[in-house]
Amino acid sequence: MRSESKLVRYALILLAAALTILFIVLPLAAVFVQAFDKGWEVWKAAVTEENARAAIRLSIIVTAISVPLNLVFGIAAAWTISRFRFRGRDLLLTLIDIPFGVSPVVSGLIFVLVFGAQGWLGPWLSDHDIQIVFAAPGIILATTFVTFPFVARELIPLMQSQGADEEEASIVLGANAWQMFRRVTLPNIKWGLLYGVVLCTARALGEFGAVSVVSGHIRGETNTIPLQVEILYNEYNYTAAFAVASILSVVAVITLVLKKTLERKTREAV
Amino acid sequence: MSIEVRNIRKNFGAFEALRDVSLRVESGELFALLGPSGSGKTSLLRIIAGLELPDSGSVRLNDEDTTRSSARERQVGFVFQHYALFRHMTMFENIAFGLRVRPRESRPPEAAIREKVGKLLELIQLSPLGNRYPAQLSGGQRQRVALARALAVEPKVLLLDEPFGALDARVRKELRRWLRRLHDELHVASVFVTHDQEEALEVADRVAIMNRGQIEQTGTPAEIYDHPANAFVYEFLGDVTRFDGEYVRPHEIGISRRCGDNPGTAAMVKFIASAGAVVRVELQREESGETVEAEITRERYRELALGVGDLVNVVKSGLSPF
Repeated sequence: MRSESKLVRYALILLAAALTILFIVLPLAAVFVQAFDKGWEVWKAAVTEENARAAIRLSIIVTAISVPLNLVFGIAAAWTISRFRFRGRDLLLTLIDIPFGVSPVVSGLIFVLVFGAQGWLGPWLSDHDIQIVFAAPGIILATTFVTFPFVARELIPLMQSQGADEEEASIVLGANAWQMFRRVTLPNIKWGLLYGVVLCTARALGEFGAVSVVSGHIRGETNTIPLQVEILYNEYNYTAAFAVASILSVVAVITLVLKKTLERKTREAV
Repeated sequence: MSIEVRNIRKNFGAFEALRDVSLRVESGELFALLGPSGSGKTSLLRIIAGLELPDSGSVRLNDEDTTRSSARERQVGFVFQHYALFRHMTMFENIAFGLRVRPRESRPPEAAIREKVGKLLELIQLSPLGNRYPAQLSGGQRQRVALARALAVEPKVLLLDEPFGALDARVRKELRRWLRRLHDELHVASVFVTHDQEEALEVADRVAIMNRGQIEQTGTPAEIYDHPANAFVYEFLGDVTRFDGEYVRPHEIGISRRCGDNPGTAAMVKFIASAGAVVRVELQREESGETVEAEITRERYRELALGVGDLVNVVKSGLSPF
């Protein structure tokens, strides 16, 4: 390696490191500094305050429902796409990506349009006393929609590269469909699946745009953690805002560590 | 156990993979499906196994119609081209799989499973490697494990898709002799797919030559080699060269010095490949300009003392129908 290219290499590494510190490490550190600015007790009070607790509870409920749903949808979609040739397969692939391509705000608006009081199903829903928009069901629907691609997108290339040979071998050896899935498919995709679930969970907990539209921002009722942070921030309650935000930041750091580990495991499985 | 397929047709979209294919393999027979890639041989094997459904026609295993029964009910042993070993299981667990997935009432007890798998590992001479994973084994070892896994369920018929395709030449030869011996001990009907004519002719009791979704000829290796049914079979089984516009085997071309009353017509030696058991000589005929390939023994080669640029006599010695 010649010396000038070495110089260029180090300069680029330095630049990348500087940018990472400036845009990722510093802000993350700032969140924690702000959160604990007034001490541990204040932080604790902020995150255990009634509305904050309600927001955390709602976020957990929403995530606990939308992630398993997308786990099932994701496996089903990946299976269909990687194991069968059929008309409309490319269309299905494109449809799966729609939540990635559409702005989350638009995704939220879609649900308001369909389920809102003035929406298509609005009159029918109100006749039957079912509330979707501005309530937990709407938030769950919006979150599920926005996080839909994560599991499927992770599994499709993995299942395509692994092929159907092992599954066919298990069938010829006498396994039924469930035995095939449980003993052959699942062990082969488990790391990729976990990876998708981790990303899906992180996004479900952190989703702001779509949820903001369908939530209605009712304190203690329809606010998730990110919405609660926004409200506190808008009220100039910075310490409390950062305290609640620090929960999301911890989730982000955990996600990052898991992501790195799972990425390696997934590569080994191909 | 016998295998019989009748009038099988299979299309993939607009592609006709199989066009009216029928054949019968008797119990104890080792049968080869030989043909170029895309000739439909793997599709036929997968239809026999139940991994693919024919558009029309029937599959009969042991004279029972199994066309509509699923792959898991057919009790066939199938060895996949790339082995398809379960990558997250040890060799032992791979072989035990077929026994472990049986419904509880017919599943052998754990001790019996261990004994059986142990015997199979012994049979494939891999007893010490039972705890290894597929990624830790060589191609030849994986191939043997794939076979042991198929045999563990005591299949009625054994189907092998390009069983030696991914192995190097030496391992290939060893394994195919081993397979032949194994087959003779098992008393099953076996079908294997191959594109290698030498492999098919050496190992199989009978061979079907396939081309573009049809069977061109079925017979013993000697029958089809000595009496090829048509030009395709003739050309597919070994080297051919053209002489006076006809197909001839290179070893049927005789070479002699141009002197006295030696028969033949004049040709110039263009190229000599003298490594190997036979010497390959490429010649250009004086009159027609036709290029002819000849194979002669090393002895004959030394006797003639051939060199590139020599003018010699060539003659067709054998008789061929095409």
